[in-house]
Amino acid sequence: MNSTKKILLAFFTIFSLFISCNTNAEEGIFYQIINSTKNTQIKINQYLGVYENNHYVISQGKLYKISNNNYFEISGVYDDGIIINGYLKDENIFFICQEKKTSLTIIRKYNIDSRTIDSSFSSNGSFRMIFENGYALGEQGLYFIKETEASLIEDTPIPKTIKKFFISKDAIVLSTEASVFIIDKNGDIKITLNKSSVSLSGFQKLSDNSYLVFIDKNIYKVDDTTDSNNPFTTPLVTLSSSWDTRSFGYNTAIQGNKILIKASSSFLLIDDYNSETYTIKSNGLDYLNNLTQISPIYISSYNDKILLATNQNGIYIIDVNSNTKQQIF
Amino acid sequence: MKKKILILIILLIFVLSGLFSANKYYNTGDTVFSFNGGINLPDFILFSKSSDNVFGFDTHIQVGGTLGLSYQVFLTNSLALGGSLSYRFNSSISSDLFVLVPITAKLSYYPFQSEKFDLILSVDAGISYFRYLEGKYVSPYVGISISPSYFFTKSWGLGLEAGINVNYDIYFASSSNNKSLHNAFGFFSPITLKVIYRH
Repeated sequence: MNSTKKILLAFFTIFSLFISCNTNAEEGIFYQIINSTKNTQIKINQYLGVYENNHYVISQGKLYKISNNNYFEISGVYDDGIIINGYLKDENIFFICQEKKTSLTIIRKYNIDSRTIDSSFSSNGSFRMIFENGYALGEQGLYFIKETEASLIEDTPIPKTIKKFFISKDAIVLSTEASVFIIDKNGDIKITLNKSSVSLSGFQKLSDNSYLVFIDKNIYKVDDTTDSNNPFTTPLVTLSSSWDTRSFGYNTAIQGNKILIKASSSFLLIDDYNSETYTIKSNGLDYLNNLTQISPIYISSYNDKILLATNQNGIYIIDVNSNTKQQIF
Repeated sequence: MKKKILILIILLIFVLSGLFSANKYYNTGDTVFSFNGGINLPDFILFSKSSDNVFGFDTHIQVGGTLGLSYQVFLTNSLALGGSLSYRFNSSISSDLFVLVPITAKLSYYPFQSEKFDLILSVDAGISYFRYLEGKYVSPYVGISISPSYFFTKSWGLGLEAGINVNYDIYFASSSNNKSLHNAFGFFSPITLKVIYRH
């Protein structure tokens, strides 16, 4: 073999090696690295909210404060049980905890400033879930949480058999066998839509009287002019079948005139929800891709941006205008 | 301003090499073997098709380590040619390991050489294998370095070596994926302490 053949053989060996590698990865290696995220030491089961620049979360049955990228367990809150979920309102955290001895699930109120459980707060009965707008779902139905107690909403026509619900800070949508109800933060039913057996999959408040309701893969705009007996006729948008909701439904958050939607394995963006023709896009959201694998995920409007809390990969501030994310924990 | 600094550096190298050229310690055929270990710093990652360029720790790469060895033979009394092999590792912020294995030809120029001190300017060119998560790649590799060395016996010495190198992560356009949008150049700076044996 002469030297020219040897050089050519060496060149093609190296070249074939060069082009054959990384065929199994869907993204460039350096791209993957710069989009890697810090693994947090705690798994966030529920993000509660922010108070005086500290974020509060529930992780594996315990309450944590996240401050300056560090986390601190709030001890002595409930030593003989586990915390199931909660919500933060001003300086108070209301949470459902399950007693180990009795297995009862009761609501407690923790004051962040005084670092104590408020013994004057009482709740009777057993509770399944507490919502971020101040409601709780208990064995008797829907409860409204006041300063000193959780009181059953008895004078509303809402049946106790709630099929599915979605919540935001200032409204809640829930479906029963026969109807869909939209309730504001004061406990008033704003809109009742009579439609049986709907598959509620998401919810977003747009204004005081205007909402987006997700039914399966269709998004409907609902307001006080909507025909309550024939509410879901023409969807604004029908999501692609590949944007599967699975059992979690769609999480949504507003930034300006844009709505970020989290589907099961991708993010979608409604570009301008005030315009006559809505457009939904999924391109340009690559910077969020590595956050979709983790469920549950929490997204909410936050200081004119969007806060996104993941189960294992920390908390991010998302800016859908500049397509950037900043990890704050 | 940058041009002036560059011209000054080049002139300085020429002047120094001229000054020291009178005292040549090495002869053609002499050999140098070195073993080195140290840290591997992330410098920056430049994307060719987007403006997502990131610098320093914004690359999400943490300070890592490097181990390596090289062997060179003097072609003249100032130029040595040989090869080098290194193993470099860095952790990303998700604690996943990024491994880089450059295999290169190494050309070194000795502008200053003596029984006790050497100053070595080197160029490395070759390929590097790198791996991160399930991704593997073999890339062209180019690096430059500077290394002052002190010899405490006639054959054995210690040196410091600092440099910068670039690794290409290049993909061809494909209908099945958009990896070609991720074409990037990764720059790293290894800083090592090396043990040298010359003969």
